Amino acid sequence: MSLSIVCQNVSLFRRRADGSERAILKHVDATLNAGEGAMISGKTGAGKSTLLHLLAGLLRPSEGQITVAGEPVSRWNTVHRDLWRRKIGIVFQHPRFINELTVLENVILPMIPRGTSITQLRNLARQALEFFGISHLAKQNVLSLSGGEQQRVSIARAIVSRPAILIADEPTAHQDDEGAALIIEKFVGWKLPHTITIVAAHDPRWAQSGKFIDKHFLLEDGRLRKLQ
Amino acid sequence: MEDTKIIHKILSIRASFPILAWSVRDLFRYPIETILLFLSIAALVTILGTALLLSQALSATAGRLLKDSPSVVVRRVSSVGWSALPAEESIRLAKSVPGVLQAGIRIWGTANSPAGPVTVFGFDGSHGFGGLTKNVPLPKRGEAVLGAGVTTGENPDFLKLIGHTALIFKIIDQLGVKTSMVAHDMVLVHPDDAGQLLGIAEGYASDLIVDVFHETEAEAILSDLSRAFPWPVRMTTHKEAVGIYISASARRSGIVYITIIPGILALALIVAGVVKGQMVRSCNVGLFKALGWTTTNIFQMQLLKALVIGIPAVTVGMVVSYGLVFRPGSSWPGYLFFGWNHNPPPLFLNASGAFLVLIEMAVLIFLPYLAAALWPALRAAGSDPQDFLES
Repeated sequence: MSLSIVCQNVSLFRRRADGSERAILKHVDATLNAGEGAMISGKTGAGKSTLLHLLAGLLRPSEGQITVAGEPVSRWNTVHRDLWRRKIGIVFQHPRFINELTVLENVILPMIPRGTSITQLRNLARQALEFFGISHLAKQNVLSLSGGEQQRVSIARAIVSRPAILIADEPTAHQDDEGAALIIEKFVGWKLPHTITIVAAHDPRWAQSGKFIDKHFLLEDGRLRKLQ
Repeated sequence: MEDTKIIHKILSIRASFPILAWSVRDLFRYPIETILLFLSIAALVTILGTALLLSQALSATAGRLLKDSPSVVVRRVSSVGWSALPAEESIRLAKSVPGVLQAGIRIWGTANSPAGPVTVFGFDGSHGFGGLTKNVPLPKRGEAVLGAGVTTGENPDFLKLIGHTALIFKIIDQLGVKTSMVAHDMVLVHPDDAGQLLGIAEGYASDLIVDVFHETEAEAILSDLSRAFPWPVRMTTHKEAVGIYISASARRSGIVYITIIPGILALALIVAGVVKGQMVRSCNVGLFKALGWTTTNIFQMQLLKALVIGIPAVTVGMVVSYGLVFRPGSSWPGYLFFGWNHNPPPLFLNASGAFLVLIEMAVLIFLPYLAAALWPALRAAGSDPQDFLES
């Protein structure tokens, strides 16, 4: 079966301090197929990041299920979900790194448990950094970088393992026009027949580029609506 | 699902080397913390290991010391203490008791040497001291063989001893350093010299030693043996001698066990520190999982990190504690437990005793430390990455 992600009636509830439950996502239905680039937009706090985290297997839906290639990954046990996450590259809204490490070491991180030699790991990481024009930062500590540079390192880390599904949360948030154009161009380049790319953004430059978006969703009040 | 499990296992094994390299690198992210943890564990193992090794060594040494001691030692007692007993008559009377296999006399006592008191023993070759004196020449009148702990005065070829009278002996041999502490402070001389020096008249002896076929028979013949002599006697069986020695050692080694109390407190601090450090960095566990690390990978990393510090630290601690107790020339155990001020005899450790100490160290220190180090992986086992990313 070809790669596809299907959200079926997915809801997520969070418990408030007073004990009552608040719906973050309500009955989300969506289908994303291989080769597609999807964009999810919405206001701040609409639940975009939460939806991406659900798709990336970082948390489980309270109701409904997420299937990938027909497999109900949201219902798998921890061991299988751990392995499933290897097919995903994730870019967090606020870049998350191991602060004491260099850029190169942070980019290597997803590849370490995959049985690749250290030399090969370094080469792959350097290629990923070169892809985003930041190979000169390889030996610097991640904390010494600007917000835009950190975001690019985060994207390089997400693609270093050549994931089947790339999920990015506001990848152009800290970029100037030139940087944003480069990232959008790279994401367009990443759209391959066997990959799915999902971006959450309210940056209009994604829509303006007109190259990336195959499906455009709007998340409002926890409900997902397809715009395009 | 089965295929996935097999793939998971293969990946886990293949991933081990880069994870090992990463684990070492990860430790160097916090060099001061790593070094302090290493030193803390090594110091703790040294303190507790020394206490446990000493305890084991004292038991093992006591066992060796008394292994070849006679079944029963008979001493004649009087209102002023002990007194010499007539040799021939005592042997004859002892042999008349049913169950007695052999009987013999010993002439021994304490005399002063230039370096302090020593035990003088009338040596005629009949007492082997467990083979220690196998190749030692029999001293003639005026000759002496010294134990390893006995030092002479200015002239290294002669030894002056003062007891009931003063005698000067020509030294013809010295027992090796590795001989048991039974002969450590002993001077072997001709029996007649021993009697003269200690004020024991000819034909008399310090005590009588009796051997029976089996140790259990010793207690059974005590009352018959007591009745056989026309004078009051005090008898000590082999079993009693061992008990007296062990209880004396245990009383003194109890002081060492006091170190275990701060040791346990130190261990609690180390474990708490490791757990706290892991909790602070628990968001890293979320990041690792989000980036494709499995719970097994995280477990491997934590285990390797713990072992990279723990195994060398425990090894160093054990080697240091072993050296403190057993290093030739290590004087403090002898001083603490036996009062020897110089040239101490070695302690002994048997294989089962050493193994027991290793097991105790593992249970006392290594397992709590490992549990604390593996705590994040155990927590991660059933959790989603988001739980850690938010922590």
